[in-house]
Amino acid sequence: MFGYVLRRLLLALPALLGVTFLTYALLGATGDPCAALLGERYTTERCDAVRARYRLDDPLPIKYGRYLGAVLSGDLGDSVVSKRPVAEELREKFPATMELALAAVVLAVLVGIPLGIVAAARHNTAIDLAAMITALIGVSMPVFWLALMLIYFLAFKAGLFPTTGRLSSGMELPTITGLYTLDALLSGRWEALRDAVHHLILPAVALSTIPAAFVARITRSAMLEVLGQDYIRTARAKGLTESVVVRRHALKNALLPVVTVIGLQTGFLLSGAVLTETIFAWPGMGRWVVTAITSNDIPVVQAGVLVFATLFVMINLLVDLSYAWLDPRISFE
Amino acid sequence: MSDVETTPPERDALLPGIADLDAIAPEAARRPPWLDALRRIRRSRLAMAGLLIIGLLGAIALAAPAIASQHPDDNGVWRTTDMRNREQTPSAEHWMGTDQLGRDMLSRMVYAARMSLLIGVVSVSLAIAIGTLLGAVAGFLGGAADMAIMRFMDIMLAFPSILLALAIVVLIGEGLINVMLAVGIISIPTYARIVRASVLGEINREYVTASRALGASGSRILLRHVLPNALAPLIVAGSLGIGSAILDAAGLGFLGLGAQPPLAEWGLMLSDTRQKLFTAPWLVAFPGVAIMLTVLGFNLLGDGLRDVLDPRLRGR
Repeated sequence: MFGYVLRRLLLALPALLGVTFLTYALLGATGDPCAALLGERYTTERCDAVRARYRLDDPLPIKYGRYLGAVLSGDLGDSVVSKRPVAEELREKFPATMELALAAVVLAVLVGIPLGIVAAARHNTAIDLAAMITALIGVSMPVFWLALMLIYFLAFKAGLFPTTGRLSSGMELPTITGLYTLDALLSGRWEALRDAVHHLILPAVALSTIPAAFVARITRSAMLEVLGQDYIRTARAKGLTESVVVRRHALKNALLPVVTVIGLQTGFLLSGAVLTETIFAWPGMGRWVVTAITSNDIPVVQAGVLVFATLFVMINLLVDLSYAWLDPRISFE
Repeated sequence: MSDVETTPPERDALLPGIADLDAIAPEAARRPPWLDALRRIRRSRLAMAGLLIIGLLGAIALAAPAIASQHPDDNGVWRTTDMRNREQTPSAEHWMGTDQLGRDMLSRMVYAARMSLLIGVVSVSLAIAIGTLLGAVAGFLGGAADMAIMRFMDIMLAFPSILLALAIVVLIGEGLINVMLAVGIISIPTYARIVRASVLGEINREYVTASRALGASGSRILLRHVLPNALAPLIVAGSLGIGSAILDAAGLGFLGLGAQPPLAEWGLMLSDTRQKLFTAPWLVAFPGVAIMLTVLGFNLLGDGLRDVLDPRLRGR
């Protein structure tokens, strides 16, 4: 098992290197750095000075090497707009996105897996059809539009939830993890916990819809596949009740593809966060990157894309590792 | 499907594993294979529901000049604005009301249908063309070329899709054409993988060896034998791909990076009217429902086609 973990970790390295290179090559090449740095003070002489100072005329591999070195030592450059170090801003935005994404994954799993199981257990009935049509509509919806509709009906019409932000104004929390719900829990501030959860629900529901639908679809088809196997027939022939057959025998074996989809959807969720955060004014990385794009703040865009992609690679790694746990045969291959 | 040339290998694609159909059922073999496929598609309720939705949308898009009461000029610019009549609720005169500039919402919606269908089809065609080429080269040549191409595809897949599209748009600039490019580029890896897998699956089959022994060139083997086998999975992935391309493009439009005003595009319309959510909610509701229906149509079609074209899944 240890050897397998190590091997997978090593295999993730080239992917991560590739990600940094692509981010650098894609975004490092945009625009004229002279113009961005000098602005109105632009003259040819000053530009030459800037090029010399930042060694902009070095060949690409050397510049990339320098960039990589800086990134590894935690230096992501300075934001062109706020002039603050990008790494510092990232530390503020990152926990907000993590909190939202985690809440959405949990919701997607809690809704998607039971929906898929029920559909499979009631295969070819009206319940199955209804569940799958719901799931298909779920994957076809633009997440930003769903967010707007949730705001209109649940926040504006029914007045059940706040529409923006992470906490009501005036509410304060000590920063421990940066995940407000967790911080409130750890510091025992129940009023703040209630408030943070209250703010979290709508964006998390919006973000979880598409992943929940995907999880439901894959759970159903994986369960159907497993339920057709011989050992399930044996279990039924032994006289086990249907619910024991489904829960004990079928579910664990059907989980493998489900875990893959949950992993893939977590990555998808990160990109969904870009749109969801924009709508709910959620102060996370997604909104940060979008704002940076509109103000042409390349160092921030670069850092944001890099962090999102790194997270994505790490999640895929976790998915692979969880395979070995779910199916012990894999780690011996 | 009627524009697809019907060659015998295509039948293999549609009926994988039944290469010697002629020997088993000569009279069935005389029926053109696409007719056979069409027959089965007709029996799939999912695919037919999808086709119905797409057909309706296509008809609306084509008939836009006849349906709409207001029209953009040849460059898609909407010159009519009528500030006195802005944000009117739906009525007999304006079935979907009027927008924040007093333009007839229904007219903008039907013209926008053209835009979304165009974006979906163009970006997916682009992705299939490049992806097929890359996948075929990777699978056919193997070795270093395969390694280089597929590792690059893996890296592209390591980016959350809309983020990669965002990065590309930042690089090449905003606008409708660039969004089609960006959305097309991000989906190349999907098709490259499908084609490569098909190539690797066929290349050592006996009939390919036989063809090679008869002196067929590499490109002939690729075009006549190998690629037709990739057709079925490509059609399925393409149909589902159009749905997600439309969603991604709408997302970029919503962020203000796609089609630019005063073009009519559903994502852009949502972004334009978003501030009106509490005062004129119908302006936000209609474009979203339209996007959802369109994507639903392509998803239904894709799911249905998968059931029809992949016999392993039939009856499940």
